Amino acid sequence: MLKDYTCDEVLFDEMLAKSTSAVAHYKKFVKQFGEYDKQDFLRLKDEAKTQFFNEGITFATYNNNAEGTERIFPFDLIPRIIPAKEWDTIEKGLIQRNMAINAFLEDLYHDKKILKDGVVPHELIHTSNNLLVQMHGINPPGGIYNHISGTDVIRHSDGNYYVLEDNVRVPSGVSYVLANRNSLKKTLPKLFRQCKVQLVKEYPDQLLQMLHTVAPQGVDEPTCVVLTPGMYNSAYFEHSFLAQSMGVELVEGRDLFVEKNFVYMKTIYGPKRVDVIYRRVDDLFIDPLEFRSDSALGTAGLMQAYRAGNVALVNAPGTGVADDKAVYIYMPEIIKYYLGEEAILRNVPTYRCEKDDDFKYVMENVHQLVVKPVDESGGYGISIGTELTKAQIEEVKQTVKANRRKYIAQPIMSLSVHPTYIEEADTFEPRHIDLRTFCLLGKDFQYVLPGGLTRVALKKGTLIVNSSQGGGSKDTWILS
Amino acid sequence: MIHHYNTVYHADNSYELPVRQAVYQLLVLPESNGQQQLLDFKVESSSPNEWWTATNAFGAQCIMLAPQFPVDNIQFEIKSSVNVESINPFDRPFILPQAQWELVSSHEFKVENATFLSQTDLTHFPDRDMSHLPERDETKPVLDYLVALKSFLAREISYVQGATDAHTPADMAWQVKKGVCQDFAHVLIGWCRMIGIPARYVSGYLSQGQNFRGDAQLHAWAECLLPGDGWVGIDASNDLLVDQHYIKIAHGRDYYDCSPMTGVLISGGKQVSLHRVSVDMHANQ
Repeated sequence: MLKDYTCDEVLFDEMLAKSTSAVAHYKKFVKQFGEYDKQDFLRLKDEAKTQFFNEGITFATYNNNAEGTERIFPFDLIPRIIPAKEWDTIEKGLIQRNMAINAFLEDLYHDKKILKDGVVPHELIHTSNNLLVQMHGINPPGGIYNHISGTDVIRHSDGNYYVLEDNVRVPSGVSYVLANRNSLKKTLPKLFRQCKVQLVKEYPDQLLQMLHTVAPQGVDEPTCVVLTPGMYNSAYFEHSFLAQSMGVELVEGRDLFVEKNFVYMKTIYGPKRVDVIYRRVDDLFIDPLEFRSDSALGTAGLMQAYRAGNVALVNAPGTGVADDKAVYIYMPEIIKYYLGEEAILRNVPTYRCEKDDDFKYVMENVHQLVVKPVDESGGYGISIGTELTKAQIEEVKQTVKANRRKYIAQPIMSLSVHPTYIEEADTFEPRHIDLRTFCLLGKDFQYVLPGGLTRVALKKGTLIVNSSQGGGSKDTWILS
Repeated sequence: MIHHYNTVYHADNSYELPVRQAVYQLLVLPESNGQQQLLDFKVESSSPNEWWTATNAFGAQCIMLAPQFPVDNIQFEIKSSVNVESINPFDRPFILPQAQWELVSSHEFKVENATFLSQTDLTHFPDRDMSHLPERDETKPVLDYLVALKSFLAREISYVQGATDAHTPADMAWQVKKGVCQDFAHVLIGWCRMIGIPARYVSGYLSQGQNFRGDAQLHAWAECLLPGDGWVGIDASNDLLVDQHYIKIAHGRDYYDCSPMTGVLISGGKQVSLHRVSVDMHANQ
């Protein structure tokens, strides 16, 4: 069915890799997939869609009118395939990078050696909105800050993998990886078996294991919970999914209370002590006593319990200072500083608008750069030079000029493309993809989910793949 | 010489509708440090409660209090007894003034003290104008300059109650040239940070019956870091350096880090809360 599929030569196609027929690691899939005809395919696609609908696998996008719309997360049946050897390097690179970030965070909240040594400019850190004075001197259980990291990796037209951004606050998306796999296994069972794909279903178990490794000292059988802002949050499906598949309680801030510096959850059998909180509530909302006093999503006294070492918060508050897109620039130096190693994964060249030379270059080249705010996530606030009108370019320049610390710019990376079924055209077309990975760090514990969430920019030509911007997704196959 | 004080903090909160669930954080206990020693304290409340102590972001000990039943009025009384040692704030170790001023602009000093060099909404002067400040003589110790700043501030701003409130930023108080201890502290802190001297907000008790300004309530002043030496307390509202008449409770970036009482409440409807604070302090020498 994919035999007529072609791709523009300037783009890097995952399946064709600049040749005319499928590369080795796609051959088996293409051959098997060829046994289906279009009719079969459409039927299978509808089946998959119905499954998603029945299981309530949805995602809410917030639009400008502040009206949330819940919708089915668009899923494309053609999987993205990565050979084991390539994945091996990515996996090592992710562990390396996220371990370095953990060491960096520990340093920033204690001795600040890296700043004193001038490796990272201290002004950059001390002007970050995500640096929390409340975290200074705290020793998180197990010494872990970024327990769960959602590093975004792309493949450029040069065929190399690059880290596009680090996400060490509350990265989301893993539930869709599991849902996609489930759906694909049910829809294309034979094909899946024959291709020998590494499993992802153990993720909830690995996550729970990791949570256990960071239990407060002296707690052998920790009680873990998932803390959600509630059902109106865009990732609520994921929160409930993860709690359910780990077999732990899903709680909201009002279900918890703190007494004598211990955290308890209210249950029908009375209060039950909570030891590890996988919190999906943003830093500033977790404790009205120490952060936003108007927050109804948190629990008063949580930070004091954390400070006393009686509860683990996953991820630690204040990790956002490390995934600041201006700090990203220094990641190769950060890795070298703490681990004494060269970075395994490449960084995209990045201009810091706060620096005069970089600012000048950015002002002259907005039309061919991607300009991003340093501390937002979900693809909000990004402008891509080639898609802007003259007036919009002027607007971007003014925005950057007004707050130079807040913006960075990068060359427009030509994300690799992948054959994707496009409903309107009723055919397979190349669409840009990236990869949201999931890396777990605990005390003497490391795990990378084999694969991750391959996100697809469904609109022709566009490079923004974020699900909050209406992107879709694919199953990601790491061959064993 | 050791001075012994007994302090009392009393608060009275009334609510229109009963509060179903509440947690109060009281930041009113004298801290123990090189100059003062907290000997004992007692917590009393009008309603049955659980109470415990906890550590805040800046290492201060707070009293946490959770009433066990819905209340429409709750009163607390925290009594503490504390010893304070006599000090002469001008008695400092000798450091070459030039070396001291050089430290101010050193990289390590800036990194080490970033928290108290960064302005907050309550301390920053948007125009960053320092031209009106007394001239700096770097052949004299940093403390001399801070003393001059304090006296300049005490001359320029009049101590007037009611012209400002708890949320008045420093530049506003400076514009109206009026304020209370909190405003004096914020203005001084804002200036110091502009110059590069780390400065922090301090809340505490002030010995009563000595005609000090601000002794009827919890008092506030600034602490500034003398490079190569240590923190020195400066009370611009009384034009004094801090001595044995001052009992420190806590410090922070600004007033918000040191509010004596913070309540997180869950109540069925509209809430009206009134706070009455009184501070009694007696010195037994």
